[in-house]
Amino acid sequence: MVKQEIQLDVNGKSYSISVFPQETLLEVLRENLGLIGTKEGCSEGECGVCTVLLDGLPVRSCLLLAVDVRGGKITTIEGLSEKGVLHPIQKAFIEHGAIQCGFCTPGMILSAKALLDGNPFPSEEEIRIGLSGNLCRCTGYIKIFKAVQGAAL
Amino acid sequence: MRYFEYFEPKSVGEACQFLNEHEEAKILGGGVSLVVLLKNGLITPSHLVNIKTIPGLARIEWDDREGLTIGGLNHHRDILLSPLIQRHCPILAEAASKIATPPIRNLGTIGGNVAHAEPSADFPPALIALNASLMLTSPGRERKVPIEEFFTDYYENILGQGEILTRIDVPPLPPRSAGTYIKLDKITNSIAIVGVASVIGFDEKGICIYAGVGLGGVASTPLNVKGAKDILVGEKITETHIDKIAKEAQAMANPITNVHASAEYRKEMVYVLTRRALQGSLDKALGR
Amino acid sequence: MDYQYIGKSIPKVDSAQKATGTAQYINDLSFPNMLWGKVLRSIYPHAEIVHIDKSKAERLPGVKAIITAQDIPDGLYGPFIKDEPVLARGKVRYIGEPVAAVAAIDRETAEEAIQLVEVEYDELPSVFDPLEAMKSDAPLIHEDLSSYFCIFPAVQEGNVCSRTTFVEGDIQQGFKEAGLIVEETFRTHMQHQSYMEPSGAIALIDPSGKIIIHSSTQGIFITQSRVSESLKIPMSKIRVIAPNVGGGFGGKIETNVQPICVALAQKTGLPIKVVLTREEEFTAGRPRHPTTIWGKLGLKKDGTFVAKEMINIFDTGAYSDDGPGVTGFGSLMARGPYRIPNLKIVGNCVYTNKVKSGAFRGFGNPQTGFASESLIDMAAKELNMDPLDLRLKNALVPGDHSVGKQTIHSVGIMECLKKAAEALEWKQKKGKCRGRGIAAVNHISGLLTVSAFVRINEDGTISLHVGTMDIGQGSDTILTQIVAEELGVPLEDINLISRDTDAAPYTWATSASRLTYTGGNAVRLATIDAREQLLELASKQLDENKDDLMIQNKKIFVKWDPEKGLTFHQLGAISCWVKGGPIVGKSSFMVETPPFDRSGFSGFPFGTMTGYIFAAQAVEVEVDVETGKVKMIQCASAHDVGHAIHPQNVEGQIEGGFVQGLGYALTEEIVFDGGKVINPSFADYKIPMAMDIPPITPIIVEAYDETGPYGAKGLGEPGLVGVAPAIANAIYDAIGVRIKDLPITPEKVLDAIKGKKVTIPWTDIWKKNF
Repeated sequence: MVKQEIQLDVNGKSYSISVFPQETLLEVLRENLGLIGTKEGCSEGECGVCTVLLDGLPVRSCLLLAVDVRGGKITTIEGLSEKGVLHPIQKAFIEHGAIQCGFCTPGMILSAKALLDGNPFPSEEEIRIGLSGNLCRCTGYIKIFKAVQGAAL
Repeated sequence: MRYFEYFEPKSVGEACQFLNEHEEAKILGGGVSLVVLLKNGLITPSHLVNIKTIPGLARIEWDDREGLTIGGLNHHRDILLSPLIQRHCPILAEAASKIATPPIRNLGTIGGNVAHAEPSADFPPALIALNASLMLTSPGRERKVPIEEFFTDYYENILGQGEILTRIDVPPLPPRSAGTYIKLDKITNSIAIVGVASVIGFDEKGICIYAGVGLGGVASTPLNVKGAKDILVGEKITETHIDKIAKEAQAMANPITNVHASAEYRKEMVYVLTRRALQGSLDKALGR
Repeated sequence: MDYQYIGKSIPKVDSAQKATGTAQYINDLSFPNMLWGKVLRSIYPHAEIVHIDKSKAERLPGVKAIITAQDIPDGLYGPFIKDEPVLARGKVRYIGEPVAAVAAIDRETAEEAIQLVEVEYDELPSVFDPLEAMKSDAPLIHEDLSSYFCIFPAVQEGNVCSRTTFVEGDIQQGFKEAGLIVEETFRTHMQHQSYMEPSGAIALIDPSGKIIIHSSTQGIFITQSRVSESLKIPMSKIRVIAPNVGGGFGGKIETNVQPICVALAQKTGLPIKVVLTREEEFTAGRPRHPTTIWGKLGLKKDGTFVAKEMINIFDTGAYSDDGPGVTGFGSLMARGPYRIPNLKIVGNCVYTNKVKSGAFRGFGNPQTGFASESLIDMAAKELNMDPLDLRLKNALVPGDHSVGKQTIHSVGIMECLKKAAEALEWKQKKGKCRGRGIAAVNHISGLLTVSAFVRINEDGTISLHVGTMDIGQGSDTILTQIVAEELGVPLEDINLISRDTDAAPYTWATSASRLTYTGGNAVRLATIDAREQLLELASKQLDENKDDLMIQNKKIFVKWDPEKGLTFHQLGAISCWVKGGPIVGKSSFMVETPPFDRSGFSGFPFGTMTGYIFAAQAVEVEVDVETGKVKMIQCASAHDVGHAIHPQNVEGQIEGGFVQGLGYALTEEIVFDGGKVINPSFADYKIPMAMDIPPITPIIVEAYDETGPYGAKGLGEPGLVGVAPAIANAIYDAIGVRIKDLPITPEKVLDAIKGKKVTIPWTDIWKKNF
């Protein structure tokens, strides 16, 4: 078994790590970099709690091998707030009561960020599509839609 | 996940060569299906060959004579957003929009979607209706095959040792044409219980000059309803024609029962969805 | 009344850490030298364990321990009937039952190791259908049932581990008086809670020998108790700490891997983490009980309900778990929020060789509610009455009685029904293939205990010690609001200490929709106790009559002389250092009144219940008659919560419950082939996603309950309960077909349209039995 040296750019920081080829980005983020905000919920790309942004687009970190990131820029939930100042989407989630258990929240907020970065004034339909990769079992999604609308304003 | 070695080829030739030499190697494209199979232990390759490191395998191009060329490594998202596809083959964007969710569409590739040979996949019915061909590349050889000949059984295809699906070619459609992809799913964009794609083209007199219908989820492979062409081309399309094709599609279907639906239900839905898909294309083509 | 904090939708106290990803859940914790544990599970539904060979697995490098039943105490555990071993002992009773467990240096090694443990089984005859399991010649799943310890006088027979009966009036006479009788058999299916965070735990042993369990749980004291009884460890030697919990919905009330984790920690002396895979969640979790329900409703020609009989068969799987409670409670709720003078409801909780079912939002009520509310619409059709009017005619009013003859004073069901219907423009004309349906719900929110301490710190800030678990529903925020209200202190002055059995006083679980009502009462009383002590101290220090003092801005002063007073800071310091001793307000709250009249009860596994809550769900659907697909057009869900302490939170519960109900009604089902789950993943078990959500109008109804804190009652569960019957009723309204078995798949709808007769197996044998 041979480890490979890879370069990862996560939240603007550069890391040099050696990984086995079968390690997923999710595992590397959580175990090597201690970025526990990225969650593991099903490990097969269905639930979306492991969502991170790769070059600004939401991807499943549980389906992406770390060796396959190949220089892409990763953003995790830890990269959103700066020096304790919450990102407007994070504020909107709190204000609109879009957070219950919180387990889907990091992935949901990152999907919302990708959506709003590409489309600052999405329709409700576009919000639903943009968030469709993230399951939430607590809120029924409605307050999450409102939070994203709120953050867009 | 079982241990495997990882290889990054620099060219198609190198990739083919490597695959030829390593019988147990698998191609890593988008990985959205592959990694799940690896995790479940359903496949245990010796090597993964990451073809995303090969330049030129992701490109969407249009040629008035040859039609559309899509690289095997184009992501579902590329297909969804490409202006060329919107203009020339919007049914492919429609199919892409119905594949899973954005994080999957951002990683998954059209080549992988096709090569995985999942009978319920969303691109194959649309590609069948478009009369698309696949370019299969192996060391020193390329062959172009009609898409419906590519699939042989559940998750089985004709790719040989060392062969890679590098490109998808879609011939140009008549100027007055339209396509529709409809899928029946349990929740929005979950796996197709039945998926039906239809493409119809007309001359200026409203006579059908092109017809294609592809089915997903109803047999061990995606199906081409070949009769659609015989029934429609040269005709002014009526309800009777549509019904006839839908019945033929239904007769071809040989679905299985699983947790998502029974075989009987699927068989019945092939008829309903084929009618709707044809009617949808007809309405679009005639500007209704 | 004017409140400073109550009734205000303040930002939830735990939202910021969740929004930034810093909130820690079980899988985010780790400890030095921690090992991964993994469970080897049975591959047979019913089999004797002949031999287990651990030797190959033991030789795998990195494996630190392998345990089987032989290596651990032989305690049995369970909330109602102590029938479940930590690891299968002698035989296995379902596919997925823990047989052995491995601790290894990492997850991969542990996974590899369990595959090397060789188990020789001798297969036994299995039974998967509870109706079959109730036959006298069915294979017995628990031969020793009669010897198990039960916490209540259980009525048992064969594979029936608990039978609960409620009788009121005289049903024979009642049905004689009826001008119309409707009768039908219904079936409901197995639904999984599908919380986003898989269950898990970490166990370690501190230097004193105390066992510390970090547990993803809805009840730290329940984890403590189950580990204690199963592994025969005194509760004084077990400390349970809970991190943030990523949803529970009932599924994390009882333990899952916690006892296994502890046994591995004892064996190795090292910290052990076990987190379930999603597949294990589906195959060895604690889903909602499937049921078969036969019901009969008698009405006068004018629509007055006169008699109801129901036999509910709950398939509890291989172990009883919360089954006796679910069966008993679901049957208690089966009358519905209506006056029915003559009643006989029988609930059977039946063992089968399937994964054990347990608590899940609604606790038996969604199942019996589906049957009950379908029957009402069937009767409305026969009487040619509007289903809404028929419900309103029979709905409870203040002063009416519960089953068990408690007088209920706070009853908002009429308003819920009217407002939910209004939101859909109930009487307006409908489009083609569109229909509207409504269902009424009753539930409780007062059950068992919560205790709380409210301490005044030296600096006048407040510590609230309470054992409640906020698993996302917002109880930490609501309980903090209550302390803030009673003491007039800002929220940031309150330190809520829960989640630790060594730091919080005893509290039963986050369950039964009860933390606002039961927990709110306890915290309010403890805070009032602390406040009175503060006033007492201030009165002594100021030499003023207590009645002449008032509290404002963290200061107690003489009403007409605000200059004469002491700050909370001063009082806190005085109490700790000078006089009276530290101020600790306390409350040990137990729901005891009003008691049930139990003369018609048999085998009911609970004491009293109160805090009755009401709801109505109304939906408009459109049916695609060619595919059978049901499209939700618009929905409304109205809830009588007494008084909304945090309206935004109330809406969140209504919306979340509704969507979970949508999944229950339409798409979610754990499917078996024999005893094997064949769809154990989110790829094949489909919960609603963002694009599936219809417009939902949440409606808050406030029928003030004088027994609740600030008039408040509970909320968590009823949001789900009426969704499935409302949809079934709407489908009938749209296209005239009645779906009697859940979930309502397009295929079933299409079959019904085509007139295919669906017969749910039922014979009168079941009736004669009781």
